[in-house]
Amino acid sequence: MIHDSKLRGKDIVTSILFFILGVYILIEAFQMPLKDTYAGVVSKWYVSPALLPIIIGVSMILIAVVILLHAVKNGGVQALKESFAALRGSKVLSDGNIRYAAVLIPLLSLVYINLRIVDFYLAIVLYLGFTIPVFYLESDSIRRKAVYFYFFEMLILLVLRITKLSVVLDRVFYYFVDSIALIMIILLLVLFIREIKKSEQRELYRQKFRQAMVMSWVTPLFIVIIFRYMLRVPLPKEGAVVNLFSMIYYLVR
Amino acid sequence: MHIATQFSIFFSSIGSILINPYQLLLLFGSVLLGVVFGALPGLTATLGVALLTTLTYSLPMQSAMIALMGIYVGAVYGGSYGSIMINIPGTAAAAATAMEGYPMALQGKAGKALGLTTTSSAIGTTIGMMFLVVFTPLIMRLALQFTSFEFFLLAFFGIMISGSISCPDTVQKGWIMGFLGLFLAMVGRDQLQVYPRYTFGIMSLEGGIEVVPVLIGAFGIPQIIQVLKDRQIVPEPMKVNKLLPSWGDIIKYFPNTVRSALIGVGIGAVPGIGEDIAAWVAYGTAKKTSKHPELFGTGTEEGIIASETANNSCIGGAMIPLLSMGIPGSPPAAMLLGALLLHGVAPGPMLEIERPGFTLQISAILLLASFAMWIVGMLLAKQVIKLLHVPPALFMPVVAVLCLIGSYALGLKVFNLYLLIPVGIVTYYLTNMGYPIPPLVIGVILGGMADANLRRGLMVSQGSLLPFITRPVSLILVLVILFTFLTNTEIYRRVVMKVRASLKRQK
Repeated sequence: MIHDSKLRGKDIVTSILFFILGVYILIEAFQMPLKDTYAGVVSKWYVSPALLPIIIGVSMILIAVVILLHAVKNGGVQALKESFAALRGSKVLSDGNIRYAAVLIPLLSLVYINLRIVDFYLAIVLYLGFTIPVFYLESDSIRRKAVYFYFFEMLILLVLRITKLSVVLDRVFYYFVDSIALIMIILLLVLFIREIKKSEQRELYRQKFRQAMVMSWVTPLFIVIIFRYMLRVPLPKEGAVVNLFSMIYYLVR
Repeated sequence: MHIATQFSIFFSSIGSILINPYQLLLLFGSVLLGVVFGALPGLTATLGVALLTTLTYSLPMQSAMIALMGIYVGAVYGGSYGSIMINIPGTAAAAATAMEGYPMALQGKAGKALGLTTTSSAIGTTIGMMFLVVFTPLIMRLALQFTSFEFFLLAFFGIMISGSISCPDTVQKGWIMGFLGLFLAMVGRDQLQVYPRYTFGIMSLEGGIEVVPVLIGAFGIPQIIQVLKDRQIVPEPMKVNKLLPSWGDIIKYFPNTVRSALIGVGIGAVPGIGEDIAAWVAYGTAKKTSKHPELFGTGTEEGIIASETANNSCIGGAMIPLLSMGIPGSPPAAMLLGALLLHGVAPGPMLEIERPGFTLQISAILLLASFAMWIVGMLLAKQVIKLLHVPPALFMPVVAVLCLIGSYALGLKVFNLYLLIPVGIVTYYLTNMGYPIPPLVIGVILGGMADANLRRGLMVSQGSLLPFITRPVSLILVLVILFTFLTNTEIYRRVVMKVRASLKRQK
């Protein structure tokens, strides 16, 4: 948790946001049937779908006001000013922000892009193959280069997803997007190997990278086996690799 | 049924399982699977029971029940592993355990914490089983007295108490998170008039927001972001000399254990209130009754014993309305209901007439599952500690993947994942700003129940609010809620200070 004095500054922002949310809840609630007839049923206030939302909205507004007053009383305004001043002087692409991006970019792209268009196994390898070495190696320079490169790769997949080219291309060429994902994984691997060779802590990084790769490639294998074949959960996208697994599984069975 | 016959059925059920290697293996296997399910973030007891329901459909009834009860008991207990080791509760029921378990692990007492949770979970399950057998009629009668007003107030009480207890900053932050959770539960078509609320025209939101993605998003994602972003080191594995808690500890905390078990059974017996509420209420009660309440949140043994005893004793409690009225007491119990129906068993008042001794058979399985859980727990705890040798950078991305696949697997909806990420990111920021997550989750779980019961109650009373104060249980709950609210206000504090000052002056 943030330090207490800074917290009051943030409280001002969050209480205002909660206040706005409370107002929104009320506005929407008052558009719900309160006394009118809905779906042929004459609605009374006490059976209205708006009843609890109104209670929630009012409570949220009142509590937000209490939090706001508490924050203002305890030096929140000053803390907020200091936070804004500190923000003005900070770099957008600082090491801290790059580290933050290294957490969020792969997570967001896995959920919103890759799981829908890339084979489940490859999507997980792409995620783990980036995230694990980027944090396990603990090198700011390698992380920065890897984040830029990964971001560029994800942009390509995003374009394929948004334009629905992934569907078209998959129809024309078998497992086209999966092949692209595989190439991306290999390119990422090459980037890491090159950067490790250049670094001073070559031996340590090499060892760590080997472990990271084992985790990145073996873990998804277990996940696919457990969920797809033991728990019988159909995976979000079963492409080249999962279909190959299925073929082997049903042949052996 | 004569008491001698009851004993005979109970012990013969135990004997038949113990002498059957296949069923014994099934029991230990399902308990172990349950522990793994509970321990891994994203895999809940409900999901475990749900997945095993389909896998055990072809098994004979008793074997299927052994597997399902085993995974239920194991998963409720297994949630504590994540809470203690990485501060990510494997299940909602273990959220309260994280409050004390993780600080204990940070202090190098992970082994002791796991030993205590294993033992108190086993004791809790056993006490829950005893209540299932002996006190079923009494608790059933009590639960039958509850009307919609009481259910609404119970939901409200859950939010208020968790908001008050779990908040690291001002209590208002806890309450507002509870209301945020209630709001999330309002999303979708309402239960009575099927009116779409806050759906933004998105079809996937019409059915409402599922609890599991919110739970995983709220508890798992912030932890993953925090650990990776801030180079936060998950505590180094500590040497565990002794997992077995001493008799001294067991005796010292025995009143707390019994009280928590009673709370767990009582709350479990109330339909719709699950293990998570039981754990929070027991935790809150332990804090209120402790000689050192100021130590809560810093790694107290009382806290983890209370929450773990209560959430496991809740299983027995949750089985009471399930078997006697066909109403599940918790989400995993709802899955069990489905499994029972699949096997041609219709729980309800006619159950003991149609299948004499069925309750006793279930009780016998529950007792054996608690023993199996204790044995598996004592053996597995050290293995879990070994997992901490894995550096966080190797472990946390895998946890993220498990969170995602676990959330997806429940409803096979990718939309759940779309929901999980924003919930996780928002809660990450809110957690950093002193807003507690448990009230949010409790609000989401109980929101639907609160909404439907408030309106149903008012429908019966024709809009009159009098039943809130004329019904004894309602009145008690109203008073408790008011007390919780008032004792946390500035006005109350000022009045107390003035009274104290005037008393001092008089002296």
